[in-house]
Amino acid sequence: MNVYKIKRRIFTFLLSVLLLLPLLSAVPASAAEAGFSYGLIPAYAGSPFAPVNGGEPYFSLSDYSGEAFEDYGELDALGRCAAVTACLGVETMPTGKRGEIGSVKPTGWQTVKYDVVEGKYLYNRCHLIGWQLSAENANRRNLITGTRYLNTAGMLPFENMTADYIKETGGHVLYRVTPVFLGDDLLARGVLMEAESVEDGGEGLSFCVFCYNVQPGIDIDYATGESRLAEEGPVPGPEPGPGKAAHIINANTGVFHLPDCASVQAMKEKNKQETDLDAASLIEAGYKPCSRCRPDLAAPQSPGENEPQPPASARLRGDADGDGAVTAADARLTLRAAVGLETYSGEQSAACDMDGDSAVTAADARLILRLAVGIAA
Amino acid sequence: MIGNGGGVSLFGRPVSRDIFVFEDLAALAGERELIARPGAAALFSGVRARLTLLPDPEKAEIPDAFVLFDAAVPADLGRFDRVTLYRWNRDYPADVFFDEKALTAGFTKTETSEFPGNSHPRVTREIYERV
Repeated sequence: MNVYKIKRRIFTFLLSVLLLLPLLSAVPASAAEAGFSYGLIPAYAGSPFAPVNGGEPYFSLSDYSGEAFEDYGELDALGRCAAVTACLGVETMPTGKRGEIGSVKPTGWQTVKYDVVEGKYLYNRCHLIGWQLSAENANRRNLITGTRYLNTAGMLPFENMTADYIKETGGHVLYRVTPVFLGDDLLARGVLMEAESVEDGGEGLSFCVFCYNVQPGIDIDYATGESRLAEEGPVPGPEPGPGKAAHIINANTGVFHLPDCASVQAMKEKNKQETDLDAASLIEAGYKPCSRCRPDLAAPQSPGENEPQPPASARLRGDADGDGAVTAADARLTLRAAVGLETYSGEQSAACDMDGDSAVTAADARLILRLAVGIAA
Repeated sequence: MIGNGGGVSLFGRPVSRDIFVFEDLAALAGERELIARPGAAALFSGVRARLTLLPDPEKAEIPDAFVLFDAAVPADLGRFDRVTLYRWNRDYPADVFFDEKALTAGFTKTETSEFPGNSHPRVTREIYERV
């Protein structure tokens, strides 16, 4: 083996190590990076919340010292809130009276009343981290437009549970709330709430749930915040179109199908996830349409009429070398492709573009490695 | 111990805790044995009680004992002569609930009292005796 090859191998190894070390120890910056996706949330069925990730938070306590902190993400270009993270304790809780917050109008805000809504007003200014936990009141980065139902039936009970745990034990709770917006919607579909008690390693308190931003009896247009009584018919908004029918997501491959697709019949039960999201929303959320039933088109393809294109959905997401498994070798190969040492086919690119930004980058290699070592789903 | 709506626990953990409630329970039990699941031991830290930890408190065969159900309550209370119910008077989320209909068959409420908790403004205690 000549000197050049040896140096190249050493360089590749060192580059891999430099990228791998942070991957193995870093706490995910977001729930999405750790595997959360709105596409996995079941349709609202009467409960204000749904367990996510088996009730286990996506973050780990191992990198937090237990000292109190609060971090409020920056508003995006549309003025929407990002995730907020905190280590809550007695020291973060309010000591005085709560002030006014009427000056803040979060995105999608509308002042509208309905008799069917408790308190009449459909929308509340919802704190992502409740005031009773953080004393943050009129902070624009901590307020979203939420329904009365989200605020009182969804989020408040979890905030009560957390506050009372802190007051009783004097301990700390690692806490994160992530509002979930689709596309350019001004109204969040709901919030992902995660919490874990620090000093007892989660024995006292731990949850990971999605609270729905809905209001029973009211139809809401999440694009604008407009609403109407449910019996008056569909809310103005995007017209139902191709892909409006329910879909089945393969949680393992990230591909979604029409319910009668032959691939669904062959799918393992544990990987099946039903969703009522339309095709456009699923693609927006990072899922790929099945190349057999083409849920992104108006009508499903029948067997025998598959389009002659590379079956990207047949390859596992992250399976760069096509061996049917996602391993560290796939991460390494993807890293090489990211730095120009490998050239990927369209199929490989489609399978390894983990973050859906239409490019294969070191970030994708990082996500593949997390998948390979079991840190991400 | 239940929140508003009858919630007992969420993801295997009681919806809330309060040292004053456990002291009250220990006082009620007096010299009698107080049986609880192993995970409840931490709740009685600093509380003087004859605590016995068993994996299945529901199956305990110790006569004249108190049995604490803080994570799940058996649907059939037929084995018990007395039920002491603590209400947190707070909204908490839950995935395990206590069906209070179990108290309507064979029990009658004999006592209701309230007291301030350590971390709860008001805790209600109800005692039901078998008729």
